[in-house]
Amino acid sequence: MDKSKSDKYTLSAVHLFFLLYVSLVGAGLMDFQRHVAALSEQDTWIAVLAASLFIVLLIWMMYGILKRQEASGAHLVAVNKRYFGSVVGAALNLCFILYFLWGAFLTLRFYLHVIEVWIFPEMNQWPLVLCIFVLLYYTVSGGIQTVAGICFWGTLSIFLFVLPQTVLVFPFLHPQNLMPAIDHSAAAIFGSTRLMAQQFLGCVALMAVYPFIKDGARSAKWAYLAAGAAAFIYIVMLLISIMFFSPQQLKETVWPTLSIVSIIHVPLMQRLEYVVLNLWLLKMVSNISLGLWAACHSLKQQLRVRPRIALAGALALFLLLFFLDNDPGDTRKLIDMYAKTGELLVFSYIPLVFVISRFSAKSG
Amino acid sequence: MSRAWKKVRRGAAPALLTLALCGCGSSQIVDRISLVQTAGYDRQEGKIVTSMLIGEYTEQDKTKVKLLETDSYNSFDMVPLLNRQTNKPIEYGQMKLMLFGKAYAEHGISHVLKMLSRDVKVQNRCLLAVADTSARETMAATADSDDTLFLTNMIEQNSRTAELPGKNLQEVMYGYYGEGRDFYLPYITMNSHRRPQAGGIALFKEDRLVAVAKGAEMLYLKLLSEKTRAGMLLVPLEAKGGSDQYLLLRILNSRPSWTLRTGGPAPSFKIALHMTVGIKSISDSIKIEDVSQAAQMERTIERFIENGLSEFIAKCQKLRIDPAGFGDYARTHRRHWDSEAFYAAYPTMKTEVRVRAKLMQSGTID
Repeated sequence: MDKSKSDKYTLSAVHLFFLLYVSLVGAGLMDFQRHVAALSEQDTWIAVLAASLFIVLLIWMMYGILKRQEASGAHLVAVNKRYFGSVVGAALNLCFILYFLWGAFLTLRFYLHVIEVWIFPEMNQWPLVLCIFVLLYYTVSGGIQTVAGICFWGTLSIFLFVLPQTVLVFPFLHPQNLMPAIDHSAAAIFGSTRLMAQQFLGCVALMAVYPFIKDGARSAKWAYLAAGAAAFIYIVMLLISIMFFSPQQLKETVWPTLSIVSIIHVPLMQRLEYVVLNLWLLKMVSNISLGLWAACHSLKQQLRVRPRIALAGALALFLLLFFLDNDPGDTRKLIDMYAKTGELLVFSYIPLVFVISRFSAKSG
Repeated sequence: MSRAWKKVRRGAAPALLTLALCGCGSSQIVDRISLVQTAGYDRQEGKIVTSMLIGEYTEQDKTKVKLLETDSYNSFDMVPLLNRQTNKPIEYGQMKLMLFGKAYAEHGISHVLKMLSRDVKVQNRCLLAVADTSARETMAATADSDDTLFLTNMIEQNSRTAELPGKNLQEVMYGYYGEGRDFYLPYITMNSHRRPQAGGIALFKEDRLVAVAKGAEMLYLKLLSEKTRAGMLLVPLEAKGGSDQYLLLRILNSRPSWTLRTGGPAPSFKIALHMTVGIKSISDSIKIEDVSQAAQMERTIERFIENGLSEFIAKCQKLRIDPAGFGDYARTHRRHWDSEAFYAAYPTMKTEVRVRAKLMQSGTID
């Protein structure tokens, strides 16, 4: 399908940075500290570092797998078909398609819960949902280039508008909270690492976007840079949270990132978290559209369904799910399930395929 | 892709952007709401009395201050009850100060703290304070200032330039949830002319008011817990002729450094305080003319502050409260800190206070 790779459908390697960064940093940036730091408290930065290294390893493995494919088969769907046969491979592909959709839906649901609590408690959500759907349809139907464009803004929105704000909370920090270092058992730190790694489950999107990157094999440095940027933003947010809250307080705060932003106070703008939450919409739209695009594109490769129809179907499915899942508690359970499934589907699958691809490359 | 479709796509982007304008729909204009900036809780004869200061911005550049109050048997329905009395809906998103009457604070404020921090409308920067008489009376006394933020500004300016600690909701919650410290709040008293003034620091144990630090103790707490560049201290000097002689010190710079000598079971701290002070005014009969006299004066000041700090720490130990955060220091400097064991031993904790004061020349006449 990619033999006629024209400029219109490909991306330069730089775009991989934005795409992969968006796939790694999701809605969890608002509340990951609370869950991840519950076990290992001030030592959690080790866990974030370890989880990031694990993701770097996974990216290296994915490149290993993709480089061993022919140019036309260097993507998720073809890889599954090649190594698992057409039946099992097709089943696996369907699992991944559902998984992409599931992740996109959870991001949307999570974000809307935040909006509901934080900005518009009394508002009917349907108009907002429909607006976001139109935006999503517009982005995803524009193809990978539009998705990459929104990912560019999604990346910038956090780096330009959220990260610099953190300087303003410095007067409220308690640096001594980072001490004593390494006061937790290896088991506690491993537990945190596992929870942290679950934040990075979106990385498998690399397998879907890879064929669209010019000089695919040489784009690896951008992928590693994206992993580095993701690790950086998570570590900064984590350290600030640990210094800002007392340990028990962090465990009881639902969205630590937003609570931190809410202490900032600039002239004319007393409630900065409202601005940040609105800018966060860009980030959320980029996350959701990347997931939707990956699902629709894979469906096209697997079942020859036209992406536009698949996209409309996916949005209709979202509407239905929206109707069913109205409770933040349910969403939390779905997120936990998503993470558990991801450990099998992503964290076990990639090393497995990596080993298989190595073996069959030798024999073939 | 057909040309018509492209046109639709091109038109879609501006159309989507116009949707963003809908966000401007919910506006609340200041003269159409009852804007609450200061509110208070009191306990009177078993009932909870809540009150609010509301500014009326009907005329330009003028604010009329209205005090509303209601009583209830719980701390939760303040806004709905008071809303029945107003002609415009109450909005508390701009609340800057929550006052607690002394009697209310002695019964515990955790309900209100949790309620405030759960409510996203309440800013994390909202200040908290305790009123000596009642919150209602203290607020009523500011009504003629035409400023609903009078108390807020008073606390803020005092915490910037003097000893009073301004504590906002986030800082209080930090102490409330923190295992290694107790929080404290500014304490507002009424003077003989029925004017509110910064009168001390309300010391809390868990969420209950247990003591008030007044006078020099306010400065001692500040010196113990943070670096500071503000504060005054009146030092009595040994009187030779029997008359009282005083020295008014200005703290120019002070930096505490703590050392934990033994973590447990019997904790022991060394606290070294390095400070630069200036003499603001001094009794006439005392002259500081040469280096040795200045050094002697420095020793006197050091001994005085050392004694004051030690007495204040002993008072806190006796009350079993930890406003300065000894527990937090031990937690962050010892592995596997155990809060229960630490606070069981807290009353017998040993502290050694060492002050090094450097006298700066000040004033333009001898």
